[in-house]
Amino acid sequence: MTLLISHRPARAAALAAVAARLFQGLVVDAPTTQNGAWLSALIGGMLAAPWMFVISKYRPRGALFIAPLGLYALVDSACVLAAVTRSAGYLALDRSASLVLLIPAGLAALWCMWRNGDAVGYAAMIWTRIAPALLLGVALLQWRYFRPEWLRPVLGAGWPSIIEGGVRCAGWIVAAFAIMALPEDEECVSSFLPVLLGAGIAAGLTLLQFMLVPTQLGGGWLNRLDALLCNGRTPLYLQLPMIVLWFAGLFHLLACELFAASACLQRLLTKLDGKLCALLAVAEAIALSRVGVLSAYGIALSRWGFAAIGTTTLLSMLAGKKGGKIPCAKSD
Amino acid sequence: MRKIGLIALLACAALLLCGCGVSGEVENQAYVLVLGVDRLDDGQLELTARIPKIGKSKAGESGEGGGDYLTFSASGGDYPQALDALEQATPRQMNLSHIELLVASEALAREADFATLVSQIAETPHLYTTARFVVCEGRARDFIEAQETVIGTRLSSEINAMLEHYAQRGTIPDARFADAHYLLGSVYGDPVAILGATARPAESPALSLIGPSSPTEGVSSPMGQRFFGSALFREGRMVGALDARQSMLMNLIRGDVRAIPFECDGRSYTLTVEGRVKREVRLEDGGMALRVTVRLSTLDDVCNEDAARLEDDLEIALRDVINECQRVGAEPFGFAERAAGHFTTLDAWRAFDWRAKYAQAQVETEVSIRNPA
Amino acid sequence: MPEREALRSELSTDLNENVNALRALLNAGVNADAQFRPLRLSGIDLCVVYIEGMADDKKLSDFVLRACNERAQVDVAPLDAQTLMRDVLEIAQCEAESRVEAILEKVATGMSAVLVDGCGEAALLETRGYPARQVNRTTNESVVIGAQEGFVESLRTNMTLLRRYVPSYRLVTECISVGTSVPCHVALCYLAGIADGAIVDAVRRRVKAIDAKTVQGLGAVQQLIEDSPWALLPQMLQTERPDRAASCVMDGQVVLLADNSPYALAAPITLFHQLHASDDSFARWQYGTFLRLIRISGMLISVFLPGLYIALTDYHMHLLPLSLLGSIAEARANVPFPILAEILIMEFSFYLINEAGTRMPQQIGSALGIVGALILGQAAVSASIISPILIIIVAITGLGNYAIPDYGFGIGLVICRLFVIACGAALGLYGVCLAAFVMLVSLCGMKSLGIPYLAPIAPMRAHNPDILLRLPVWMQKRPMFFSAKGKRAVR
Repeated sequence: MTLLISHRPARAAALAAVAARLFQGLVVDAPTTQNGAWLSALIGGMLAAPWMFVISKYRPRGALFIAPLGLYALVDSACVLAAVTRSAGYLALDRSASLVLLIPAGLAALWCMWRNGDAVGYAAMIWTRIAPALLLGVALLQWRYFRPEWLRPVLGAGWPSIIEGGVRCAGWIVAAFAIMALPEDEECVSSFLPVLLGAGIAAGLTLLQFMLVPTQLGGGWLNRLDALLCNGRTPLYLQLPMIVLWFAGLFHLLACELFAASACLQRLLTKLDGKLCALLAVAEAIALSRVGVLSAYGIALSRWGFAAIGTTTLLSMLAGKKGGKIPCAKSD
Repeated sequence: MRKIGLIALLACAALLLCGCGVSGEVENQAYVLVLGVDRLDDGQLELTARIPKIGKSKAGESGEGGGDYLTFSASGGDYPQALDALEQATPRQMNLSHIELLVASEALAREADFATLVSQIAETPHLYTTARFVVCEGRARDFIEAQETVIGTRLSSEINAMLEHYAQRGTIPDARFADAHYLLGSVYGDPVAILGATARPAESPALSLIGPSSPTEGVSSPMGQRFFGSALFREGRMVGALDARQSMLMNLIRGDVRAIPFECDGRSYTLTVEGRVKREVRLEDGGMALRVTVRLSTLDDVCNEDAARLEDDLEIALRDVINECQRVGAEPFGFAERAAGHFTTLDAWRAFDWRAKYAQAQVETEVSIRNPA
Repeated sequence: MPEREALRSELSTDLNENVNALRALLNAGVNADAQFRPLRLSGIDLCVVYIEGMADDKKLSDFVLRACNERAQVDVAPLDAQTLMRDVLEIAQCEAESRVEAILEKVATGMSAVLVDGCGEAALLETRGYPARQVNRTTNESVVIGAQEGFVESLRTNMTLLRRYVPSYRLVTECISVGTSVPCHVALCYLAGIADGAIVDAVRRRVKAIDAKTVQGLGAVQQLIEDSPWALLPQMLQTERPDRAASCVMDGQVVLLADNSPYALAAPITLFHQLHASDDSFARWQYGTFLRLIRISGMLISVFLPGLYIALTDYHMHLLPLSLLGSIAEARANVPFPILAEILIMEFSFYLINEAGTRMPQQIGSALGIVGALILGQAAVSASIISPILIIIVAITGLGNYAIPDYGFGIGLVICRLFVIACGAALGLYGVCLAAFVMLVSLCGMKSLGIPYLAPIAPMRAHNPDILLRLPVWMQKRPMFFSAKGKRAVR
């Protein structure tokens, strides 16, 4: 089996993944930017836009590009996997071993990858149509609790933090956008712009969340998740749509990043079967999420991810020029 | 076939690995409806839980045992110990996800590290902080034991309906524990809590009738407890209280009530808020001015002169409430959120030293009342 | 001569030899149905071979035997099968055939073969007249508004019914025989120029590629030609309504009919086709849209409600209002089983009632409702075996399932429901969300004759607004995306 994905499903998957990853990162993982988080999302989008353009337009193929990109997507997927299991633990399964929570998510992702990339992408396409309706429901349920005043001071922790957050966002975008480097179908329009919309959506969602909970100066990961999934005002039973949104968003993100990692692995080791690549990627993601990569990643890797992948992309492009770069086949 | 077998095996393994054993059956849980926190004389922290009996309902009544409740108490050196002791004392798996009322005794709320306790409570697993937050005079355990169903059959519905009724009238704030938790850790204003007290009918003091000069009258009620005002917090601890009338005015400024009864010259009026209550903060030469603009209407017969007097009385009353809060240093009105809007970063905002300036701030109130008829 | 060789041989010019060969192949010695009726015309011996009961005696008497007797003295020599058909026999549909196997196959279906001495060909006459059910009301796909007649077991009748609903010269009904041992006739019906040629070719290729010895009706054909035979949900639409089959044909789908199958198969389809009913077309568009929304809700309830119930009551009590939680706890206070066991007991009881109701003779069928409702419902609650709220859950779930028009699709959803229940019981809402995600991706990966199962939503295709919802008829101008015209429009 060859892990393949067409252009349009890849774009849909990337859109869903970018929005989910930025929201997860800014609201729950590393909210250092405080009220200015939404600006970080936009800056991250702007920073990553040239890279996205290059990936969409020129489709680098060399190992120098594919290997770091796949590895980066894998590490990020481990973070997402950890977020999935911690969320499950927060809701009810806190007395279950973390491995017990990791395995079902890993198996689900594996099954999805075995259905190949188009299935993953089309599922994301449907998700991008369902999610707005759910979001609207969530927003309407909480309407009376939104406090625009809590968005101020508008720059939150200040420009340095916002820019640092933007760089982190660019790193998260790179991991979520990796799937867009995989399509090999003829259709090749530089259509990364719809994916950029994901950054805008994440910015909007972050704004909504910060209108619900006043800026906190302390608190851990679970506190922030608690503020997201149960802000204490809307009756709890009306929080169900938010929980579904959170989980479904993370699942699509996980499948998207793991697929990118698996497909990159297969591009590198062409003799490996796609199913085996997917299995290896899932196993590695589970292992990584067990060895505490999350904490290290949260501090350092997301900050350097964009620069690292950007550099390898550039080097790969230069190397490609020498050997004859592969231009995009224009569709008619 | 091998593929199917493999998938089935993996799925079974996944299911077997999962937390089947961890789930608890719905009828085997002890749902805490009210959780109270007290400081005992020996310095121990006491937790009290009121739990409905399951399976005791009579025909036509369902849930929460038709008015049959148990109260458990346990104490410990700190919150985790007390919670552990309470779980030991409760003969079922204690479920904190449906707490309707979280009660702290006034003495405890006035302690310096009360904010820490609030954080600890909020971070308790499966306590989802949608409870209302009450500070009670006297002991929280007594207050909790006085919680009875008076009109309905379910205590949870009774508490909700009662507090919503009072909150709509404005005599208590719509104070959620989550808000208290968030605001205690935030850079904005201070939280408030509902103020309550235990009072048996025979010794029931009066609920304040709303009006600047109304006499206090006795109220006869079968309720064993009452809710009559707001507890004010500053920097994580309780620093003062507002009575029911003051709470109503505070709620008016916060925009939490749409109509208030008001008495002037022996006549009572119902005043309805038109539009939004405007709260403004002006920063002036190192100082600050607070301004509240309220537009009200009434359907009662009121001549222009009376309306002007009513406006004057209300402006004074609003100023008094704000001044009272300034005196104790509490800011429950939301001025801080607006003041923060004048700054671009959190650091600049914190450097502004809001609290000191708030205490000295000039207060302006403007009330306009019109009669559409 | 071995049987295989005999079958592959052609008729000789010797009548006796031919009759003996056919007798042997039809086991005429023991086979009471095989009839060999000798005749003489113009001094030449003939023999009519037919299967009693399959061939219509009256047709044989009136148009074969009487015709031969009336012309017995007329000189029609030289007499061969062609002359016989042209000058003597009075049956409209007949053909000459020399291959033994083909003759026997036709005779087995009710046609009659007239063997002529001195001629190496037999005249095959359309004399089929076996007893068959009359066209009647549909039994499984009932509608409130709309045509009421349904397909029957006769392929010929079904093809005629389809033609009646699609009176177009473009309607092609292509017959293909499948089954290497016992043949089964399958008719491939489509509108030339409307159906996409590639799809028609794909169906034809797949049907012809069936190498099973026997194919018992369309159920087997479906399994042998579907894109994903392992998938839980069908990728072809079964309908017993000619009007619905006709609608499919007119949309550019290919419809399969077969011998002894009182329903049609339509492909390609999408998930949304499984939620369509004939009422939709007959009712005003607002009602059709509303009914489809009800069916979509029914589908979601059918799949997710019990799983959600167990997830919420076992793991996420906080997501239930306390008053409801109190009611559930009160109701379950004396129930000895955990919720999972309770759900499984009720689900399987429901399936049992359902299956028993389907198999039970009609005369005692009414008793089943009493048994199901009284014993399993009332008594189980009284005995505190099941909580009343669960009965409500299972009943609503069952209703949701019954709202789905397609029987096979409904059963597929029931299996999906069990999967969701297992996930909900093991992992709570996390498990239910995982299950939903896995099912969604699986659906996205499915295809029906190469058409994505969730099209036109994913992938997004320009489509006639009568797929998911039903917009006004005057807006339904665009051809379906899988039809030839639809594909051209997309390009």
